[in-house]
Amino acid sequence: MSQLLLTLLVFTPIFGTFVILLLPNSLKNQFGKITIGINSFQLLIASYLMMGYEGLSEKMNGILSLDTFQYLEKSEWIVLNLGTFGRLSADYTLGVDGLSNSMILLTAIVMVIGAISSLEIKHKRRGFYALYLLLSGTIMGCFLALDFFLFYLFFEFMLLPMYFLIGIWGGKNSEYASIKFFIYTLVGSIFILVIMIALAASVIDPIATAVQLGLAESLQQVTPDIIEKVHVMLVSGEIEQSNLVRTFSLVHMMDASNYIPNAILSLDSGAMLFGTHVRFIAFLMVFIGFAIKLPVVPLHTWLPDAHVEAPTSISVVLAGILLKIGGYGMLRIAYSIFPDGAHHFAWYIALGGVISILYGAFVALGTHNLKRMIAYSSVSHMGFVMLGIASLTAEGISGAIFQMFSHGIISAALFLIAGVLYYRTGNLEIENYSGLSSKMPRYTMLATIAFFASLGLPGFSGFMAELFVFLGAFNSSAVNNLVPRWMTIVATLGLVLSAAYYLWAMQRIFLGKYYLKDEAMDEKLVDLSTRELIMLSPLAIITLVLGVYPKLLINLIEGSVTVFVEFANYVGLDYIKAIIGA
Amino acid sequence: MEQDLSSKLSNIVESLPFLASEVGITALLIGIILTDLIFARRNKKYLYAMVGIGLLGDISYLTLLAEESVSKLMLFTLVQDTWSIKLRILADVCTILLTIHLYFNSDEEKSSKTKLSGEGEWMTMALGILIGAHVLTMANDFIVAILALELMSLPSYLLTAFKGDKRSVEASIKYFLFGAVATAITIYGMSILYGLTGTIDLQGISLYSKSFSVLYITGAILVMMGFVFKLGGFPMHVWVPDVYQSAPIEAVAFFSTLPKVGATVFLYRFLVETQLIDNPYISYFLLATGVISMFVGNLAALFQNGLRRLMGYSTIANAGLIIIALLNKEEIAANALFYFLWVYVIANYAMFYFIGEIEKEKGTDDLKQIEGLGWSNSAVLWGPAVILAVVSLIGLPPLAGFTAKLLIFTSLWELYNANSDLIYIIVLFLGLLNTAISLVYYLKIPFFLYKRNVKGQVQINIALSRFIIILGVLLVLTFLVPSLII
Repeated sequence: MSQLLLTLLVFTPIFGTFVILLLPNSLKNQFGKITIGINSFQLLIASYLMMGYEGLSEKMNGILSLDTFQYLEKSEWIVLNLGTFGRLSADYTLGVDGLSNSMILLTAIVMVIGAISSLEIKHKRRGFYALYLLLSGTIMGCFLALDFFLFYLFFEFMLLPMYFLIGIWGGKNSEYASIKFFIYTLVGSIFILVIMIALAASVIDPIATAVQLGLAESLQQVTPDIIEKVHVMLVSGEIEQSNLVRTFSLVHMMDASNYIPNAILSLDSGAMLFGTHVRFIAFLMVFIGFAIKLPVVPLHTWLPDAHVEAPTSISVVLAGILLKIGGYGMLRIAYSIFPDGAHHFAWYIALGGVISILYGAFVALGTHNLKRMIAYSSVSHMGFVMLGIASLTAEGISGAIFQMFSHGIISAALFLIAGVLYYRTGNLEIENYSGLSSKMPRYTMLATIAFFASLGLPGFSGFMAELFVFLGAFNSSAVNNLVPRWMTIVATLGLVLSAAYYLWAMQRIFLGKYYLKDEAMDEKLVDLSTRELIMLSPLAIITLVLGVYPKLLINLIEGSVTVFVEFANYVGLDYIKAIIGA
Repeated sequence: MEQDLSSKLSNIVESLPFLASEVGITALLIGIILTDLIFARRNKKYLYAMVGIGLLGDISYLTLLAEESVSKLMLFTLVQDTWSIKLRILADVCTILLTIHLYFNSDEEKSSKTKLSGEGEWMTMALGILIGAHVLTMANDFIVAILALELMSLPSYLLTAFKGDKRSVEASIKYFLFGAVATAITIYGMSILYGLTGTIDLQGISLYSKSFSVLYITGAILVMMGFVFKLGGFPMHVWVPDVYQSAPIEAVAFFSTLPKVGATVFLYRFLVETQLIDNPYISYFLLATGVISMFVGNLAALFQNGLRRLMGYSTIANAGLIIIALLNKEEIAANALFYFLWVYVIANYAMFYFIGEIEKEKGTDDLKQIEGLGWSNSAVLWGPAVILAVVSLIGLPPLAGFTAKLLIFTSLWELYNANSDLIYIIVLFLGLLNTAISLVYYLKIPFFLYKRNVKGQVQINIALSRFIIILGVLLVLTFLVPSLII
């Protein structure tokens, strides 16, 4: 049973989609509860997985080879015959390591909260919940997939439910916002697709190739010695083209010895495009694909529109999880497969991060709409993720992952806070409200916690995350000289700015004399219901606990991050030397 | 000379068993004409059963043949290989889908009372086109190819005018004139190649394929034109929107699938067997044609308000993709084309079943007519199935259209690997760019279907809606298990 847990995690909600679609109309009022039930089941499995995750074991840290991933599931899926080009295989591979475990937990938590929040949806419920469940399954699949094809499948598939969820159940202008979201992300994923094709054309699966060559009877019997032999044969060109088994496996793509000599993306190809080595271009394309998703300024413009128009629960999922796929994809794909590119472009990536931090914060400072402000604060906070990733230090990467998790929780809370107001009055203009604290004390308390957590007050998870990122980025110039010190110093300005816009919004909405622009709103403004408390309290507790005791999360990711950082630093430099040599 | 003739004759006699499938369909065609004449006053539903059973029999025969793993067999003017067998199965499937379409659209009362109900004529002509496609998938020389091409074309002109109103007659004339010109161009090209090489079979021509003479290349390009016309690719695409707009919907669905299968197979065989595929000028020409087709189709489709014209321009864009996929002579291209055609047939039929039903209910194919229909009670399952077809046409996972495009682009990439000519990468990018453009107009369909705050009502034929659902599910299935097809 435990071998199928990850499959269960992905396919239970997808199965739930069909259940919802086929249920009779008389159960219309139960759809929401069924969805919450299925997502809670998902959370249960995810928690069980995290309890059993051996974060501190030396051997099971994942990243570099498939057998070190935990809960690994692997089976053959698609094998295509390419004629004289050999064969192309895409496997169904799911696994967990330190890069993905926190994201899986985050997804499970936020999806449950989002499901509870979507009880507010009153029309066309069948479609909404069916798509919502589809979305939970595909997001999970995205974080678990260890095969590029499978990853891409989930990555793209996510767009479709999202398009409908924003377009149909969103606000006035939601059709425009949803198509903008779709096109932006699609363009990004087309970049990724090109590189996926190029990689599949360049990388072989040494294990399957060994079987193809008759060096071993079955996949299980392939020993490291045999793999070694395959590599030697590959370099010497002894293997006929038609015997090569090309693969989409993300893990095989990380090993330079799996590249076919002189293939376009191999280290020795020497192919140039616009005066730059193709591997650098390839890195850049994958990176941009994910940067749109993250998003990084100037590729962020879809985000505020999508957020403002999306219904509350979808905003929660969008900010809480979907943005993280951008960061996760950078680590798992762009940085892991092209560590050389990561080194080459580190300066620019860090700069992008810093610009995102500052630009997002500045715009947030100038917006009048609460949801738009939170959306821009997301842009700003994702800048920290970029900065942390760019530094390629253990602290920086841990900080980036920590920030993704923490921001997932906090932004979910923030969008729920905005949703509370929107649900009651349908209006999110900050200037319309004043002094709500006297009218809605519980709401004010939870909003304060969320605001303070987001602006990075010590004691909340946001602070720990940003601290790690700054430490990493600052140390980088001493460790690997990737991020200059001044960038970190400039980036700290973002903290001040975020304090400014949060405190200002706080002051305008909650403090001062009770005043509403529209008197009719008065009776609609009641304090939090039990349902809303149930949604908000766990998020507040998680951010507090992680702020005080970050080790809970760090223990999960530390081992893998160490392996990742070592790999990216040493191997990245080796690759660069090899490229320049070639 | 005399001995030569007798050996040729014995060759023909020996090769007759390999034509069993085509002979069978011809027999079926004659059978249909006769039964239609003899039982003229009865209900014509049994004609559908005849065609259905006959074609299913043919499919099972071909499936058995394919499993025997026929090696390539050259018989005088025809080729028999696994690829052509598999594609003939696809051609049969297209015709079966047409029969289903006709069956559910046939007018019960009309068919039992009037003499000229159309059933018999429809079937005869569709089977004629099918025989043409069959022969074209096997054609190995110019005479057979041109015969097959005409066999496919002539009934098409008639079917276009089958509605009998002024516009469809106009479209038919237009189609006919264009088709005649296209055929003339092709024959002209063939005569040039014949004049240069003294032979009309593809292998014979291959001896001269290294030639870079302007005349030779012009001839080859002209030969391809007639088939590009069938595909609906640039510059022979002008007929597509008009015919799609005016012809009976069953005919449009049929034209958008079957002739493409035949034309694609012959074009690919022509390029590979004559080794023209290695000729850089031909490659560049095809790349240009393909890319321009994609742009013309996708950009024009952006401004369409009618579903039929939208699908028409989408056909042009897809023709561009097919043309690009023709360029690789390795097995991957054959696989890619084969898979692409299957998926294209399935998705197109799902779309045209849907469009036909909408037209029957609403009277027009205007996009506005489908507003909010997705919310009607009958649409719980067929609505999503239509979306699956649309998404497959865009080429997003998890639908077979994605795998099809992925295969084509992978084939293009392999081509780049082999030649390191940057143009292939540029074309790949342009192709992907077109995917992004096409997203905009394809999304109009789900956008209108599930428009907010509009709840449309529509009652479409339940049986046909089931077929839409089956086709939609097939698109997912063939994505998950591509080995179903390849």
